[in-house]
Amino acid sequence: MSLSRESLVSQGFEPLPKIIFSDDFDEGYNGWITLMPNFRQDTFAYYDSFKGWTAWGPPMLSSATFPYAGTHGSMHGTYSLKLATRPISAPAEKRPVAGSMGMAIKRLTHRTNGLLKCEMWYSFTAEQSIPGIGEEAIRAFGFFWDVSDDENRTFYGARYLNSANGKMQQHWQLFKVDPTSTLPWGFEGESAPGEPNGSKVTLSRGIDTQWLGNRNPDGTSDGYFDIPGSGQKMCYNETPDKINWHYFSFTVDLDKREYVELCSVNRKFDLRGVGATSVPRYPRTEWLLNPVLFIETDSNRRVFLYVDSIVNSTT
Amino acid sequence: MKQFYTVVLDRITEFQGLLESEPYEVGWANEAIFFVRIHAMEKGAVLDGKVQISADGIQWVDEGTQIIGMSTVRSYCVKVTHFGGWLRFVLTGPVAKQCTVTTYLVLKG
Repeated sequence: MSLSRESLVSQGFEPLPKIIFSDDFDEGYNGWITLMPNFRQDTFAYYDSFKGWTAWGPPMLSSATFPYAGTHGSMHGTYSLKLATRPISAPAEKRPVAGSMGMAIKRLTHRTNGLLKCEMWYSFTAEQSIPGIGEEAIRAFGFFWDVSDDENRTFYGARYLNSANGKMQQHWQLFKVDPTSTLPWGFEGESAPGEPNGSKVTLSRGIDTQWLGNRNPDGTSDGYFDIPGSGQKMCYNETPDKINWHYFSFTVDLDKREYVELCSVNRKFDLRGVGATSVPRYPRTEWLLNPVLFIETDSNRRVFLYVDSIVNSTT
Repeated sequence: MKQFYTVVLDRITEFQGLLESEPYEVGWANEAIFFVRIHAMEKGAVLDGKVQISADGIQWVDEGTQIIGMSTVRSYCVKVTHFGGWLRFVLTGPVAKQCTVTTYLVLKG
């Protein structure tokens, strides 16, 4: 169910003129599903390049219920969309292992380029399965779009790097390839069915940044651009069962293929002039628009991202 | 109109001995079906399955519904109602025999 502009404004959103979707998870899943790898064409098996990518935590409608607090509910009702990891993690300098991320995707196409804006109210916490507030157990969370038009495919993303190998980092990053890096981007080999002419599809530098690229022990990577001056401590409160809802907005320019603005709680970052990384369009993805939410754990402890509501809008 | 959602809990997953699904929140649903699709199992392997519920998604209690003696490469199912906020499914089998399964949780409410 979509909310009216008046309702959105009353709930703290500031959408662009054309609302693409507005999802309140008290009304259901709204088309969000776990992110899945691609099948080979000859059998129900995944391409080798995707093995190990079959266990990302699926989204669920959560009441945010905790062992000692009971039900927290959501910001605007009872349910939020929850992404959960499994209790497993690789070191920050390694690529994510199976189950160490929770992923949710919604699949659309878009009608025009121009400005594109995502807003959401969200919270995050660690599973209250062991003592300790668990703030350092959460490596990162964020949002990105996988966007194509006739010519290009671009991942526009923002990630809050919270912790790496147990050390707090607490700043924002953008999906953007370091042009000076010569390291291999990721898995080689086919990743999707080609065009009828027999061409093969392989993973391009700048695609699937959420788990590819070359990571470092401090959470930086050649796939992420650290936003200067973006250090920000979030309201994590005092125990894992006290969750506070945060405002996030993220605007990009699909004509210029650059970032525009990131807003997080009280902070606003002007990103004009920071280009995104585009690659030639993949087969059969004309005007694709896939918003994606994700969270990654930094230890062998489940961590959760809760999204009360999310809005995408355009000019 | 009712809500409906199918979640794939474990996807073409190989295991030996024990497979506990990840906790899944189901507070919005009134009824659930677990499906167990056995893709492959070593000769002589037999799987048992049971439904568990939880107050918090951390501490688990047997709900009482079971599937006993899954020994054929096919799909099995079990129905559950009145389960509170969380569900998971636990498969047990021989420690030394490999099985490959896909498990589903089908929710409506």
